[in-house]
Amino acid sequence: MADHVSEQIIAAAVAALTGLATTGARVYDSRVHPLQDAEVAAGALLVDQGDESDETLSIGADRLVEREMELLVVAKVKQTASYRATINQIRKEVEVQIAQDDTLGGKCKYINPRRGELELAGDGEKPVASYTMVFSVVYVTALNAPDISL
Amino acid sequence: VALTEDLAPFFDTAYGFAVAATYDGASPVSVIFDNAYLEQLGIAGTGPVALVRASQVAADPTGKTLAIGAQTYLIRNVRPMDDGAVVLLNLQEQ
Repeated sequence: MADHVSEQIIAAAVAALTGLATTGARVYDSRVHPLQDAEVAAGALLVDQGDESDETLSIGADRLVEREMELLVVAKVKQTASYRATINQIRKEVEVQIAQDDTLGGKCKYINPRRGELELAGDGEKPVASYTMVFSVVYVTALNAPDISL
Repeated sequence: VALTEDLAPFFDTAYGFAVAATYDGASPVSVIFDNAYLEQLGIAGTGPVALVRASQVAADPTGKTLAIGAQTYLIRNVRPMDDGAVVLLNLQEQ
């Protein structure tokens, strides 16, 4: 059995976001430990999933479920100046990339930006900026086959 | 009650706890430097700070530089310690 579609979506998002101009290969899936300087460099992305809400679309044992999952893409920057400008550059690159294939290769129905939050901190040796992009990812599966996107 | 102790021994670079530094590009000062681990927004780093006698820096030294060894820092914040005879400078790498 394949992975749950939510896991497939995350994997597809990581693949799609790897190699952007600013963040390059510095894309980290479900990162739980602090990033080191070399891992942030000119900018980095963390990818993970957030809340999900489901709605039943039909009846029966194999009834369809429409799921709305939050895809979290967090831009991280650590530099002495222009940190917010770099964050917005990363946001642009991410949004353009997502829009180029907003079904992630057929893993979902569509992806939309939902909200974002900027955080800044300046107590360390360099300022750091973090921007959490929350995308709404809608996909449909049968209740008894959550590994197959319909 | 204002502190009247002689702070010089604490800031002695030979036998005290201090290191030599250059304040505002030209003024030699002695500071007690610390650069402990600090994590901010999920990114590892350090939080450089320097203790200095308040009399050796301007009343508001924010925006001025402090050079320690090969590294020049920008003074980002000033925190008077206790009676204010000593201030703690929050530093940012330049």
